[in-house]
Amino acid sequence: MVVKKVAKKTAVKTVKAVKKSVSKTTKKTVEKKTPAKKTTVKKAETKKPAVKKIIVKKAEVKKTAVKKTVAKKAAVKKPAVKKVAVKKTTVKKPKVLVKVKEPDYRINEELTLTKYETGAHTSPQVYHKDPMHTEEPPHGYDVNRVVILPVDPKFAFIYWEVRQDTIDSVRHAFGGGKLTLRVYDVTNIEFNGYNAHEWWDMEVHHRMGTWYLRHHKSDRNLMVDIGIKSHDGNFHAISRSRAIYFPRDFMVGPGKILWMLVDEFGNKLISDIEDYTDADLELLKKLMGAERFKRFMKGGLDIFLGASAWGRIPIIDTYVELEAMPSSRSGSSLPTSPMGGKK
Amino acid sequence: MSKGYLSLVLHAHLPYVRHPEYDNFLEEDWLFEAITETYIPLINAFDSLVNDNIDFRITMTLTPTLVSMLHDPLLQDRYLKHINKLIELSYKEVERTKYQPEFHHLAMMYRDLFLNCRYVFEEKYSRNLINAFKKFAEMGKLEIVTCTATHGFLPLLQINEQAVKAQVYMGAKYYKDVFGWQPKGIWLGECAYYPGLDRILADNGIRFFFVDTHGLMYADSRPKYGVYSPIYCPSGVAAFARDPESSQQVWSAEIGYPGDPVYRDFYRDAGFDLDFEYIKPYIHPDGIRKMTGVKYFSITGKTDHKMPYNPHAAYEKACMQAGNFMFNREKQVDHLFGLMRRKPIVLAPYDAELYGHWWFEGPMFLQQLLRKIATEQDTVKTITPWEYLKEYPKNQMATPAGSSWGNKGYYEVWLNGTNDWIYPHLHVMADRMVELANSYNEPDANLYRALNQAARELLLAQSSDWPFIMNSGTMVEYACKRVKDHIYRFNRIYDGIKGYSLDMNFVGEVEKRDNIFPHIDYRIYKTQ
Repeated sequence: MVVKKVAKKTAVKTVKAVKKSVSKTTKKTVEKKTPAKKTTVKKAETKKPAVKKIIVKKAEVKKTAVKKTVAKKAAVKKPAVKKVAVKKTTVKKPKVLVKVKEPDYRINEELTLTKYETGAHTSPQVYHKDPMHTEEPPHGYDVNRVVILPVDPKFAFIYWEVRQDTIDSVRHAFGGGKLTLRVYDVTNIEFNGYNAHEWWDMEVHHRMGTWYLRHHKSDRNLMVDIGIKSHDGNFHAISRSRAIYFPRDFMVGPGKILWMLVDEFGNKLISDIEDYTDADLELLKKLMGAERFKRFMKGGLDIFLGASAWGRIPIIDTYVELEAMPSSRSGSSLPTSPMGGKK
Repeated sequence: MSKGYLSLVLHAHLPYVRHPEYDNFLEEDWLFEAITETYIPLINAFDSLVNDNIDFRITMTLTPTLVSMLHDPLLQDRYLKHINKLIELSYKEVERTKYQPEFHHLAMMYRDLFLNCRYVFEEKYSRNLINAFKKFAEMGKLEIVTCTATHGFLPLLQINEQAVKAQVYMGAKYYKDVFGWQPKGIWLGECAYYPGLDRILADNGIRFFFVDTHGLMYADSRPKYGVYSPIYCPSGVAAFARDPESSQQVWSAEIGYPGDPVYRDFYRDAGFDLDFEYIKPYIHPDGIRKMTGVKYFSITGKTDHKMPYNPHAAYEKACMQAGNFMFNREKQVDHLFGLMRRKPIVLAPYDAELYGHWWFEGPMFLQQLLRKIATEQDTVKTITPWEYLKEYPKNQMATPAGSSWGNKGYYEVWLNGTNDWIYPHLHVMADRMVELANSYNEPDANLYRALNQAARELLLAQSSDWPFIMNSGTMVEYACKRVKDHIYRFNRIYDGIKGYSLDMNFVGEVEKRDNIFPHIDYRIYKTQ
């Protein structure tokens, strides 16, 4: 019964943010997507005053109903969490990135959404007519597990579940300790538990939870352990995630250009290798256009996208700045068994 | 001789929505509207080009979920009912508007349009529009690429590699079952790529896929020709990247073509405008007003006072914009060719449903564009990615950067506070599916059915549409319900199998509802 709760529990502020933005979006949607209704009203004014009332009423009812549901949902579903995450984390507002607004050529969410637009919404009551019963998803799966996923090149999502009996037995074996997430930078190495470039520790307070994490470099491989950090400072891992690659958000430096020949049947051959020259750079600049090229050279998509142009949910305002956490550099504890060990 | 190529890619996709348990289910309208407003108009446009002997090339994704729905007899029946209702409404509208000249001709236009839809759907292509697309593919005009099985967002499923492999495998296999040949290309759901994914594509015989612009610009080797030539991943699979310039002209809400004031307004619909009692038979039986597709007004501008739609002016505008688009491509290709000394490929991918459904005049624009390109100039030719690779089999080798075509360019739309709760379930389900597949080699008939159904439930839960909708804030209830249904159904089957208490009545009921991929074999999840 835990995963779900946890998922909801986690990012306390996230909940808030989401709550806010959901209601914003809802408002927006109602306003935006019911121009038909508005006009109807107008039309009705001139033609059929009797109709007006009905329609107006309907629109109002719908609006409030939607708002209510949202508010209710947020209030009911994500309750106790707040205390937990907020207290324990270092909460910082994300830096406001430079917003250079360029007309967005990326997938246009608003247009894409019209694919799912019928102008109406199935009311939840409809689902009750379904004779097949569906239960809420389980809150947990009674496993020891930690997972890290990329949100963007420098933003990670972590979720975990640890069995209480495992926590108890590890604590018992090592004389107590705190449940801790340890994030490793394992870029370009065969990680053996000891050789991470860096690692960071974050104390967590629930055996299930989620976390958003900001780090400062892209093009890295990150991995997470969940474990117990005992009072003597040693870390005892309980579960380890897969190493996950976080995408590159910059243009790589000049290097070799390899040319590959692939025939119709898929046979491949590296045919030539040449150096990347200044002339190549000049060519790329001309091909992509000076302005766009400059932005690509600068790196960091947020900057050239003006990404929040669509007023979507500002992802999270509760998250952890990885670099603000105790790290291997600042002399944090060394990893030990079962998966770790002294460095 | 041409100096370069334009490759238009239309990504046609809808999630699998089929509810036999209801007589009328609102979300099934997604498909019906797309058939009436996008797929049939596109088919008509291609037919018209073929009839006039116009040489053109276009690439389309037909996702396995969409193809499954277009094949499905229940949905075919329901579409027919839907279009018949619309025809009935349009006749009434012709009558109702007979003293309103500004609307009367539009009512007649809709009547003819709906009648044509019924003819194309029922008579010309025997209720199965896949026949139409297949016909154009066999003529060599249309290249159909496949997609992952249920449009899964692979970077977020990579926690279990077998889940990714199954998405790709099933996408390729289903395509082959339907069309009879191996797909050359794939559209990764939301163009979402992560390094290493190409190896799985190569294992499934896929030869090319698409990424967003930055996927190529941030590749692990600087792309010599930018996005105007594909690159080969080390696996030998080619990656084509989107040209920002041509995309912007159509996609941009600010400066894009579809926002022109003379075009038909999408939101203003008779389903909301007309008297309730009058329109009642044509909206949801529960009395919920919904769009009917009969729309009488033009975008006009940022005002509620919309002007009646003028199809002739809109047609003129679409032709003009097609000319403008072509002119820009000519200049662009000319410029690029001069720099590259080889023919560039300008890749312009769009959601197919943008054309027709939202942008009513979109199919007309496309048709005009293809006509003009074929007949009015020699600088640009249309091409499919596979044809380009045959002409230019030698390309730079590099691994694209992880990316998607979503807002901000990465994975955030599909993973944020509104939808992150689904991932722990999706990952556990994938692990459990692998566990089941590894545990049962020779199941009896019932167990085999149950295992296959579990695989279907997993795939359906993985559709990227659900987190996308959750993020958008509209229709969220439905998206949440769908994910929860599939989680529940999967887990109940899993528990039944593991606890030797399989309820075959339940399995049978779920098989009837979630009947996608009838020939699936759960062993695609086997790792041992």
